[in-house]
Amino acid sequence: MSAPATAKQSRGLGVRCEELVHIYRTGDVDVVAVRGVDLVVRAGERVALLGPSGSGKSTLLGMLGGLIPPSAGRLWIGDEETGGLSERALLGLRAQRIGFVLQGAARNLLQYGTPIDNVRFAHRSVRRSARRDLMEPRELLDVVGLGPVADRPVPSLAGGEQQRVALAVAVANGPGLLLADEPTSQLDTAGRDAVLDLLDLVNERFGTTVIVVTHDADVGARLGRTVSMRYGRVGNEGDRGQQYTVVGKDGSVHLPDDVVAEWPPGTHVLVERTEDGVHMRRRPT
Amino acid sequence: MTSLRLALKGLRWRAGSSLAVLLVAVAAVGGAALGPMYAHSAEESLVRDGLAQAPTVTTSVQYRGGVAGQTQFTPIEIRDAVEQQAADPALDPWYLTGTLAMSVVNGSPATADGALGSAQVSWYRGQCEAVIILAGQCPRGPGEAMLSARTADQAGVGLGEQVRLGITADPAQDQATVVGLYDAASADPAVWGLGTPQQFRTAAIEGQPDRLDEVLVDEATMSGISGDVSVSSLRQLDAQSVGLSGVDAMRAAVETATAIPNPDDISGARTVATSGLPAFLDSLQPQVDSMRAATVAVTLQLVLLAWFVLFLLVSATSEERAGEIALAKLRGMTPRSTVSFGLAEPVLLLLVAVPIGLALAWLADVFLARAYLGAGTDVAVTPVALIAAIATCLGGALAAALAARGILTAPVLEQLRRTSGRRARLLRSSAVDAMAVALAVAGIYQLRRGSTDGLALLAPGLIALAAGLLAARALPRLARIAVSRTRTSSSVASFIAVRNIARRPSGLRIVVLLTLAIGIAVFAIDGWFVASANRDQLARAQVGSATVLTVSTDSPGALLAAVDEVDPDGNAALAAVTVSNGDGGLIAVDASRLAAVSSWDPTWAGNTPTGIGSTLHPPSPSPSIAVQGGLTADVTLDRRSGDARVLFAVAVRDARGVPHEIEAGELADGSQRVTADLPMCEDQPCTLTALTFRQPIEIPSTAVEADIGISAASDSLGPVDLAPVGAAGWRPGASSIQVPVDAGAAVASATAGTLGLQVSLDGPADAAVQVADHPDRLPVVQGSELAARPDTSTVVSGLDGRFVGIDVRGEGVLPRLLSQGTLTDLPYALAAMESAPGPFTAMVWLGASAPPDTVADLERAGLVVLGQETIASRSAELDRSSEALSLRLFVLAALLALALAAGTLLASAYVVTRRRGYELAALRALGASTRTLVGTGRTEQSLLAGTGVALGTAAGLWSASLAIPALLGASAAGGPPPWFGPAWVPVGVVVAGALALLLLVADAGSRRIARKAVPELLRQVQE
Ligand SMILES: Nc1ncnc2c1ncn2[C@@H]1O[C@H](COP(=O)(O)OP(=O)(O)O)[C@@H](O)[C@H]1O
Ligand SMILES: [Mg+2]
Repeated sequence: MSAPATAKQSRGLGVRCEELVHIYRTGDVDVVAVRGVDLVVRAGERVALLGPSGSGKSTLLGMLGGLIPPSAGRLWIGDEETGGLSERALLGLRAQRIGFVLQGAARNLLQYGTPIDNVRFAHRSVRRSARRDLMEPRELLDVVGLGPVADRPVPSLAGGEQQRVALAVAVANGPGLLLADEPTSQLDTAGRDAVLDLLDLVNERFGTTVIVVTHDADVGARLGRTVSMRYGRVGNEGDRGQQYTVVGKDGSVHLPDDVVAEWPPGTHVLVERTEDGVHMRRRPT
Repeated sequence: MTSLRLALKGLRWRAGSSLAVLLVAVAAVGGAALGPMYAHSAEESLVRDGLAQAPTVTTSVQYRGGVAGQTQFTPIEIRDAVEQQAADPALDPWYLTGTLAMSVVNGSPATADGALGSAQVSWYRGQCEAVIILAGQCPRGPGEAMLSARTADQAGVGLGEQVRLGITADPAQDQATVVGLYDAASADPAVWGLGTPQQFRTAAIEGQPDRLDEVLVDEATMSGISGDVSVSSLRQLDAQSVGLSGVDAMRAAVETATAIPNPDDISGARTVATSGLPAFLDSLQPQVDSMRAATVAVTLQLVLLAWFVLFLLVSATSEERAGEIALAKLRGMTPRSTVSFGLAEPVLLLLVAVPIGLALAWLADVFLARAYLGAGTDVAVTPVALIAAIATCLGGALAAALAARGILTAPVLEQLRRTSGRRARLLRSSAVDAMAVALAVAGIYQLRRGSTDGLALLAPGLIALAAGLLAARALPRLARIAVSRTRTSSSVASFIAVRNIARRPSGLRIVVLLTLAIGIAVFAIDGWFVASANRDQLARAQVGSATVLTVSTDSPGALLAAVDEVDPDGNAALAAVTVSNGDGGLIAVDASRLAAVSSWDPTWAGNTPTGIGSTLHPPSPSPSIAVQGGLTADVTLDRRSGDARVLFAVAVRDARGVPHEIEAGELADGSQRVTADLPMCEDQPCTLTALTFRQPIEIPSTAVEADIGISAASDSLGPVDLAPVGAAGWRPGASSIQVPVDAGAAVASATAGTLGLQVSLDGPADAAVQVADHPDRLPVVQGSELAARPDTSTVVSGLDGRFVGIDVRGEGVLPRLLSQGTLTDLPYALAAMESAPGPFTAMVWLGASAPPDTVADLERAGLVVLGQETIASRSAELDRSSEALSLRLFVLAALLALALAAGTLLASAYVVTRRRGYELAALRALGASTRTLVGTGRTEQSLLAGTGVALGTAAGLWSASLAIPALLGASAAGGPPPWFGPAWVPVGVVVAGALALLLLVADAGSRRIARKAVPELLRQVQE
């Protein structure tokens, strides 16, 4: 891990989830958006949360960021279990230890300010005395390659630039964990690559743990470790080309997408123990 | 610093809604500050106006010292004592330098030929420069005197003649040479103080000396005598120098100056100082108090309305900023930082609004003071105004905090999703509703009991607020019922509009706001127009005609003659005389001219202008009988019984209206030629009033009954017809109230030129017959308060101060005297006089169409114009009464309230554009046409606006019907019957204008929203 850029830059924070559940209550209908997620992310790791729309990625990310209280399960950020934390403590966590990037770059930024203004705005959540230890807004923007646009009004920036400013603002207080929801979704390839480069930079230079929600498999591949979600569960995991499927608490496993394409829901499979493991095949009709 | 810069950027980013909030805040602060500032100015104006209009005798400080009772001091010592005390420096800031006068009140000037009359003999400091000297010079040393030209003329005294002044027993000191003649009318009041040298008056009692104009002498003359010299000094108030802040100090100084000196202190000459000022200031206090109470009530309502408006606007902008505030929470800011970030913008606007609002309030006050208050009224930012401005600002901040509260506590992600489902908790709170309703009920109860005017002005706001809040509760329920109806109707627009009303609180807030603003406005406009109509009516009654001149003249008869000469047709001018008496005074007007000249109103005493003329001046039984230069007649005395001597006298009224009785001699039995010399009828004809018979007093009386015939009457011009209309032209008694007991005379027959009388005398009482050239009893209309008193229906104290019989023909409000006193006809009142007129005030009333040179003509006819009053000037004075001043403030507040409401509506139409846009975009995506979209907005807004306006109008009119009688009750007491409105026309104009404006705003707003409601909007919300 490379040397921290600022003195008090926190080291990367690890994340551990056990049986995380979130249920949205809307009127009479309960939507179980996340249903029992177990996940461990080591400090300084880069992880992509992959999955189709509605699979619960954003909800999981929100829980990791302390924005959405888990309905059940346990969650550790670094060494701290968040379940027992007050709203105030969660604010403190977000102030300095977690950087959060909402989906849609514009929503992360004060539209009437410049990138500099937005970084300063983020600094407000840090006590004045501690602010000295933070990187100067201009320096930070220089580091992330946004120096030339630092004083331009946000609305005048291109989509990719806005997304990078949003990321810069999220890491302005030197967090150990950066959570970003679909940071590349509305960008062209060049914009996407610039954002991914920035994420790499942040991860390498500051040692920040990076968790990114995306539905783009390429982005996942670029980040290294991918965690796929479906129906609120973690299904497959990939690590540098290798694909794994994860056994759920109830014994369920998610099949890879190409297998699901062949075996539509309702297909009966035969599970047979073999010497080196377990073998599955379709029940002959 | 950086956060300030960021807030400023944010404000600029949201320029439209920032400006709206700023404008409302400025209006709120300005309105709140203007109330107390205006109250201060109006109070000062009330006090200054009051002091300026108060008679000198009330506001001045008068010093008096006299030789009587302090005979150990010389006039000089007393003069020095008065002068020294009057020079009190404590009064200098407000009072002019004192006058100084030494007088003998009851001098009796005489020439070698005899007494001239009674007169005040005086010296005034500065007198020589203060009168116009027509001949000769001012007295420069002892033994010199100056007479008024009128006295010299009446007495036939010329320059250089010797007179006894009649001020001391010592002939050496009493003797003076007439060295000058002066014009008594020219005396400068700055030197004369309260008095005037024009003191001439015919003696009220026959045989008493006439009162002469003042005789002026030198100071040395007054100092030298040992008579009863009184010394006086008067310090006049300089009303311009009085400011509200100095009133207390001035009062204290006057109270000290007029404190009763220690009676044990006999070291020097005693001087008594008096002033009516403290009592006068006390009498102003109720007006000042009611002004203050009204200002508090008006300001309170305006501030409450402003808070409400600020709450609406700030909550609308806060909702617009929900995303930004969520960002602060996303970044993990402490609640304190988040609050300060959330409130920085509105608070900044409020802070900026304070100086701007104060400045605008100051400008408005300057304008109001210039336009409506007394000249030179002070305009200042008073501490109370500052407090009010700051309180409004704090209230606005509180409203902002309330509005932002929900946003600060809402979950971050929900806020970011921009689906604001927040309810208007404040409005839903039953406690608030219940309190408003309870206050309104309390207000109504107090008003019904006819309570104070401060509350009367608070009631409209309370009633309108209660109505608005109740409507806000009822409306969603009604709308829900309507929803089920409109569901089946073909109009999508009205279905959606009604559904929106049923579930959206922001619209209900608009209803409350509109009800409140329109309620206050309707009340204010109605109150203003009703009160101002009543003030005009009062002014017309108090003045009498378009212009009223107060004039100086010898006698009421001379006044009548002069006016007759100037305006023989009786279209432009009217003679009027007031006399004070114990019954509220008597006003005698030339009634036949009332219709043409006066501002008489049928509501005053139930008479039309023409009707009142014939009521007061019915045709007399007989024409007048004129006599010039002595009356001669053949008189036959034919006794029936008794042998007592019978004296015969002739009574006439001279051209000035003064009655005289001339003995014509004793009647012998049988026929004789009798002559009554009538010197007062030499130059101008007199009017024959009565023939009197009596016994000589020194003889022990016995009864006499006789027939007396009078024929072949003639005067210096020829035959006089004593019976122009036969026996009906005469009636018994010298006057209408002289009741013959033992004595009596009656006209038994009257044929061409011959009167046949039956006379009966027993004792000293006279027997008389009078010419019936006026009604036996004076027709009068009484003021309603006098009429309500017992024992006032038979006699009134007339122009001569004697009782005269009356015939009460009506009651009500009288010009000038209002509900007091008695109104009668001047020519008849003159005819009913038995002796010379007492003190009176002479007026000439001019109609609105009087030619402009009438005043000059009147002066040429011998009248001296002392003062002038017009209905317009009186109206203007009444416009500066506390009630008018408070209502004016209320109207101003109401206009501000309307402006605030309209502005809020417009601003909220813009602010909510985005939010509402999503809904409409969804509708459009479902295939709704633009027309439907515009129609939806328009229907909803129009329904809300219509409800607000209708409720506000009803609430305003209702509170006006309750409050206006209480408000006008006090000031209308004793005046013309008050009119309580409603003033439909102005109210209608305001309501229609407001409605039209609101509908326009509704239309423009819904068009704008519909235009912005493109389906792309929806994509921004998704995900
Ligand atoms: N605020 C919410 N209220 C109710 N349901 C929600 C809410 N947010 C998300 N959901 C539902 O929860 C599920 C997971 O949503 P989300 O976490 O946004 O998934 P992803 O980010 O993978 O698209 C979806 O079915 C979605 O409809
Ligand atoms: Mg998502």
